[in-house]
Amino acid sequence: MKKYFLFFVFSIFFLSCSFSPPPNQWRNDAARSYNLYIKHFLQNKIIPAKEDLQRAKDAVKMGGDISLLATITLGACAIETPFGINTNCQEFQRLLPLIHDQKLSNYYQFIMKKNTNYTLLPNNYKNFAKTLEENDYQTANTLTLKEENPSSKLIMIYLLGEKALPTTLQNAQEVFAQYGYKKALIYALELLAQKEPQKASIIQKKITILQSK
Amino acid sequence: MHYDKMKLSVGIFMIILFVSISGFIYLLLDAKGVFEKHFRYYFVTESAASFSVGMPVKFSGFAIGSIEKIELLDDGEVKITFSITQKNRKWINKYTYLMLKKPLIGSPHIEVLATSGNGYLQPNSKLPIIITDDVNDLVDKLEPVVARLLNIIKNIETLTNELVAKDSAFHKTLDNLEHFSAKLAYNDSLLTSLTGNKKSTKSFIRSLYQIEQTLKNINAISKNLHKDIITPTSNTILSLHQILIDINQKLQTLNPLVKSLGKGQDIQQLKQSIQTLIYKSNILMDKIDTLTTKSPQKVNLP
Repeated sequence: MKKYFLFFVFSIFFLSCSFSPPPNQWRNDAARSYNLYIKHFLQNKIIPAKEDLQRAKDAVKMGGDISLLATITLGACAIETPFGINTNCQEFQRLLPLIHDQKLSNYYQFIMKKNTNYTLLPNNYKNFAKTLEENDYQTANTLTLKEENPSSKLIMIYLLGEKALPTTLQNAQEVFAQYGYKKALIYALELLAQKEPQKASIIQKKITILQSK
Repeated sequence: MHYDKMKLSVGIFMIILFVSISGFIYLLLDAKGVFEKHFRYYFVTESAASFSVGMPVKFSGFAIGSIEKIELLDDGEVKITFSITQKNRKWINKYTYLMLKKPLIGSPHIEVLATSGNGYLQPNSKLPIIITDDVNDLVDKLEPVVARLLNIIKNIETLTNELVAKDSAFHKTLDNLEHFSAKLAYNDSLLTSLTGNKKSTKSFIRSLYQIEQTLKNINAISKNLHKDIITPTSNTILSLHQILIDINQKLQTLNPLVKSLGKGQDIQQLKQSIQTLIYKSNILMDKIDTLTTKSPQKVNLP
């Protein structure tokens, strides 16, 4: 009896240990680290975020995919730009001559608030970019309200700038709070404080509490 | 596509795991006799005092069944039902007797007295039972104790006979003691009585005196030692103290140098070890993450 039991236990153990990852595991690792970077950055966990970004780049470099590396650096730049970090996307600019991807360069123009071909943008930004071009800020605010992805919402608010309505900022604040994205939440609160001077002092106190250790 | 293969492997693994666990549980229960068929019989007694549910039914020391139910009948008697396993059913036939055994030490059980080869008794049949008496058991246990006691008494008797007899060793010892004490009474020193010789006594005393003199001499020497050796020893201690102070100062001078050396090499190695550890932990976490994640992740612009 004991022999049978041990045989089954060890066979199960060896079966499970024989699992090997696919050869392009680096791609999966890069994607996971990149997504973790965005999450940690918006949660204001800067040190883990930096580590995740570095891991993502290291993983991509193992596979030698320059296009993917450019996507990651551009994505990081897009997330950091609203907070005044990495505003020129220097790393992406260095890679730009090596890739022939119109979509990426168009997205870069979009983040830099320059003229873009909105048809080449990701789907969730197409209509938004079009309304911005047409100066239809009401529709742009509505589209921002409807946007579900918090990082996309953050970029839309950044691109709206002064044209962002208090309701849009209020909604953004709630969404960021739900996800636990402290950095984005403070950003939205600061914009809201500018938009609603009568509530500015209360909002400022909120910000102070959130920023305290 | 590779992930489809992975899903298939995981599915096959899960099936194998489930089948093996089920098989193991079945084997375990089978070994315990859960699936074995049992046959029930009963006997009737006046009292259920010595019986309990679960009491074993034994044949030649092997448990072949146990009591399942005890019920009180309308006429005041007790009906006790027990079950026997299929392979031991051959011991229960029309010539089988049951005996309740209640040992002084140990729990009671039902002993089956039978021979095989007489055909099976129908299930739910009544069997006769004999209730054994406690006293016989008690007598069996006490008999060897009584025998030992008798032996001890015999030995005591031998001893006393020995003591009483005039030519016994005991009496001789007593006589010798008597002589010795007489000697002590008439001689002036115990030592002479012990040695039996006055000259031996004198030489022994002379030796004692010499020892005393030697000890006095040693004492005189040690007094001189106190003056001649202790002072140089204290001087040695002083110079040793000076040397220790000097070493301490040199060590303090060396201390910053040792510290700076330590910064360069050891901490670098430590950093490398920590980095390697973090790298390996990340690989392990990636592996676990791959196992737990349903679909591969993608890099999308925010």
